[in-house]
Amino acid sequence: MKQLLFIVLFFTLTDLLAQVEISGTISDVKGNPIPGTNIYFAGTYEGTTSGADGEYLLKTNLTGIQNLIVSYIGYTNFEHEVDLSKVPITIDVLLVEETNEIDGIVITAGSFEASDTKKAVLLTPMDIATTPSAQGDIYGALAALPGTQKVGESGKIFVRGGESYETKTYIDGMMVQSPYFSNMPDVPTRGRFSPLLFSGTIFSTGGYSAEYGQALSSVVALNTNDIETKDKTSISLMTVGVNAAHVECWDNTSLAITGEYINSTFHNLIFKQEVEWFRAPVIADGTLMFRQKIGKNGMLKSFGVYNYNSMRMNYENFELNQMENINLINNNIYLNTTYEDLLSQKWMLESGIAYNFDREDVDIDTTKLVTNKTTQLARIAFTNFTSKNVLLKMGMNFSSFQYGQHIRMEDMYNLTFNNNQFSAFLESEITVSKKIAARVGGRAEFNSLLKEVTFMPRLSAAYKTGSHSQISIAYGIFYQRPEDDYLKINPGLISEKSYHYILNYQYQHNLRTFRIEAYLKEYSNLIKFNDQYSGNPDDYSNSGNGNARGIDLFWRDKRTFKDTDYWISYSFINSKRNYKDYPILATPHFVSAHNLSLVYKRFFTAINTYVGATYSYASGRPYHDPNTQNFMNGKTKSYNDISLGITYLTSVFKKEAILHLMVNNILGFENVYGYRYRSAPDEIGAFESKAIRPPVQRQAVFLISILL
Amino acid sequence: MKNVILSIVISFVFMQAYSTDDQYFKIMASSIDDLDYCKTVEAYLECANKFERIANKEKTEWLPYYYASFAYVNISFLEQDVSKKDPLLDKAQELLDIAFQLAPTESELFVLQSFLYPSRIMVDPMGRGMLYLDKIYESLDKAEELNADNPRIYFLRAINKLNLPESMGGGAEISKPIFKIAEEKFNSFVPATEISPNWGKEANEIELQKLN
Repeated sequence: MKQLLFIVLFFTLTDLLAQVEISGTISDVKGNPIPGTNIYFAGTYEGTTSGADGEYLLKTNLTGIQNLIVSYIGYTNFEHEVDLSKVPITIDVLLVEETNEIDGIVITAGSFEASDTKKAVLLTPMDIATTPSAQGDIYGALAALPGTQKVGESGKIFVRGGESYETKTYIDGMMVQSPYFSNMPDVPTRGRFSPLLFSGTIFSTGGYSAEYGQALSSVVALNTNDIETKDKTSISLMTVGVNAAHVECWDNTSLAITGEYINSTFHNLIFKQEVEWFRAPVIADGTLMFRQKIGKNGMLKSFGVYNYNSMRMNYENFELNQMENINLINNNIYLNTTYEDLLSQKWMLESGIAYNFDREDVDIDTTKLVTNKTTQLARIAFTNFTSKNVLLKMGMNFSSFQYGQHIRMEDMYNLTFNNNQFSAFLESEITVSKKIAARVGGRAEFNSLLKEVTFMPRLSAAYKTGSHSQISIAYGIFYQRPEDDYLKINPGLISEKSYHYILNYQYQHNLRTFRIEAYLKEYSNLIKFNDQYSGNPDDYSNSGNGNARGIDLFWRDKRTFKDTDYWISYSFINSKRNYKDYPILATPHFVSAHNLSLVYKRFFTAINTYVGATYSYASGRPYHDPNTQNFMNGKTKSYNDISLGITYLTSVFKKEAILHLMVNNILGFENVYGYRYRSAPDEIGAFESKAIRPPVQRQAVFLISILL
Repeated sequence: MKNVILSIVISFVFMQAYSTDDQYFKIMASSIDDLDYCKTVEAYLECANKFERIANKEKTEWLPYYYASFAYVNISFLEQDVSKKDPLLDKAQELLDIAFQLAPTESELFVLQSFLYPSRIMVDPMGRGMLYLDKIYESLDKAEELNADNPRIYFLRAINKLNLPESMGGGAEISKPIFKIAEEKFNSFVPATEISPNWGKEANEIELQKLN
């Protein structure tokens, strides 16, 4: 029995004797203590948590050599082998901060990204859908960001002294030929695609990646929605039409169908139109979105949109002093199919094909114009992740474009041309250190019509100046083939060219973002002519040039005020061109020196109401007054607009419903976009003028959307 | 005498062999006890650390990952600094994802997933509300599909309805019968093991009392 007691005692004693104490302090590299860290031996239960002062005391029964681990959120794990036979043990640990996506380095020069999935973005798709001045249009929402110009009579987007055609839209990596609805003179248009179709948007105002070509100024890259996971049906009734949508899901497949019919006849009776409509604008469209998961990582996406729009108006052609009966019918089909997959741990494949057909029928009194444009496009790209610090992306694009215009006046004219374009790019993103990243790439393009090969180097880099701030730079050369209206007459023209230089500083922390960007742009090879409607190829040349420089500011704050989000965007620009029929270098009509947007959004939880308001300001725009000696010497008064959006979440017949009211120019500012002058002087030798105004001064749209 | 020593030695050997499992249950049970008394970020963090240590040793058990994740979700709710919530929730999600790999058809994991999402919404209610609300419903439906007797499904569903405005199909009237269902389910609920999830009953009672 004694022996038994001895044995029991012996075991207890050895236990007590074996207990080893390890102590120390856990701190970060700056010496601040870190409380709450997990300190333990790998593969055992033995461990402890550091206290408020970062100190810890770990008692253990383990023996021999053990692996001590210290871990804490946001820090790299510390591992250290400890020999437990050598007491006393003191281990002080310095934990190093991990670089993750939020604090990590991302090249930000020139681009605004909206996404649901990534964290370090400035906008989400919801922001685009809920910006009041946008009225549900993607381009309208982007116009509330810095670097853009307010050009109300167009509705298209103008970036940093560039014309609207210098901004190209890409869907799932492929360029879109006709992203806007066809429009009438001085009646603003809008984008064909609903913002709800896309879960990611990159708006780049310059210096973009070698992946994108054929855009002198800017790129809007849209990514269609991912696979849906929930069946739903919704119907929306608007004061201007109806919309119905249905989503059906299977295990690895989803299909979304949308149909819409918009007719503004009723709307135009309420809101006084400056334009005399013979037939108010009508839009009909249908969208089909199919998604199929293939294997573990593969995704097949198909997307198809059919649009129809038509209108007829009595247009006052002020230059020629005559009334014109203009009828417009536009049909557009857009189809794309993409396939993405991981080929191995190291390679990712993106591929796609796209088709776009656009037909525009315009009748001006007895003149008939039919314009057909067709694009077929194929794309393949590979990304390599072999090295953690070097990401390599390469790809090829082939597109074929056919243009045909048939004009019937007293005589008949047929203007046609085809262009095949082949392009390839190679780009690598290099993380030099935790503080420095660079993107180096190049793009080459061949255009069969222009018989021209162009090379475009692109370079950008970022340097982290603090844990939440960084400086980025970007440089690039950009080429774009001349607009169809010039190529149809003179196919011997060459590509227009621009250079971008960008310097950017960004601070992002705690739901607040500050960003300032300075840029310089040089244009060359711009199209010049003497007479806008000349049918003589020799009248067109590539002798134009221009430049733009400016500063863009952006401030967004989702933190200071409860349930409130606001942003301020301001742009200053100085831009001059000598192109088209300009006699000298002058600021073009679409450039206003100062542009400001204030966007305010607040959710009033108590009354389930979401309120958004936008104030937009643009300083006066230049126009040419033939009554004066100097070219482009006139300046319009400044532009002002306050738009309001109110969304009320409620239920109708026990179904979730949204009531939405949009009002633009709520205070009724009388905006003027420019002036038109008679082409011939009157009796006293003066040219009579007329202001270009919005087709409607103030309007409201109301909609109710029900989730069935 | 030899026999005594032998039997002791054998019993030690046996105990050693048995103890890994026993130790796991013991340390889990005591850690779950600690978790019940957590009130502060510090206390929850200490529990989370404990469960993570257990998870590190018992790499095939989903429960330690589940509780560690649960502790981090609670920390994220207590954390006042909005900018710190997402990293905490990333950690919680990371642990939960491992648990999902170990037990892909466990109803409790979908419940925890639907408990995590509201905290994501609190970071940016306007930007994330719509998106995550759908995900909450989806997770709860999935949890119900896997085990309709799990009372926590109805408790969380009721809480969600309660916090939703009346006009959007929420409010006290709608949520009360769901709390009642949860109460019934809680009363008949028997956890699979001593260390299986068994929280929410008291909170459900408190909510019901508030509504009465």
